[in-house]
Amino acid sequence: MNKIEFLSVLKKRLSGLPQADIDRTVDYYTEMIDDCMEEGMTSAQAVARMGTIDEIVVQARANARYSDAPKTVPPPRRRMRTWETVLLCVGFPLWFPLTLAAAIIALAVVIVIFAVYIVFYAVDLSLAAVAVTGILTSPIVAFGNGSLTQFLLFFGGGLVCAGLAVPLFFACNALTVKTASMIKHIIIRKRKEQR
Amino acid sequence: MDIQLKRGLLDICVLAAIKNEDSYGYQIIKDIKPYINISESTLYPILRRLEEAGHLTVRSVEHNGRLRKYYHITPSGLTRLSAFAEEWKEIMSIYQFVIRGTKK
Repeated sequence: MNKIEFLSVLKKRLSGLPQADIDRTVDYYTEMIDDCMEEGMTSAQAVARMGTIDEIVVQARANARYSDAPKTVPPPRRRMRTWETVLLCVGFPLWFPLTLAAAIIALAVVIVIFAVYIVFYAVDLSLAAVAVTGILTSPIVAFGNGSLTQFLLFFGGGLVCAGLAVPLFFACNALTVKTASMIKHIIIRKRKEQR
Repeated sequence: MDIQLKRGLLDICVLAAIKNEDSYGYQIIKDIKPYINISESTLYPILRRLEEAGHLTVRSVEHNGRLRKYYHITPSGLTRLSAFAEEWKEIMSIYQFVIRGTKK
């Protein structure tokens, strides 16, 4: 095989690699063969020194893979096509109110959820207030009226309210934490999906 | 010779071949061959690897109506060479130990 044949086969066998890699490899072997021939070798002798084409191709492919390792390039931002812009403008009276309504509904749902919690906490606070008032005022009532029944009613009522207020407080707390973490998970999952 | 060891030594030999003056592929092979076996197809990936690592730069020079690539060692390549010299001092002392064995 002479120089021209060798280089033409090499070029063909390297096809599929990036053009820069092909040019570089072919340039290198062209220079090498030329230098060998300048030293007095024949074209065939020079080609024989280069080794087998199979070997060169394997090496070139291995090296090309390194330089062509996929880089994390963000996808280019797509420019909006004309028909998309037109559609967006024409459809404005339709999509804008719908989007607004959806946003308002979502906001209402959030407010309702929080309202439920506020109600729970308000109930708990009133129970606690009744408990404190009942227990503290029961001796005053007992001394003022001298009535044991009223004392027991106030004191017992206070205890009952205290008994309800304490577990309700913990239940409200647990429920709030659970809902908050649920909302957090939903938001994080959505962000991950967007990425 | 162990393939990995030979690979590392070839890199160093190529850098050594262009240490004092810029050289081209064929001349590098001629300079290295008396010390370590190297072929044209072996040199190519080495030159590429060294260039990508920043140990050498390439420039094209016109020669007899064609272009020839000359390789020039960079400061990073020189550092690599002196690091090699330091490493081998250590390896030579291990070699002495291996040959001699422990003194009794």
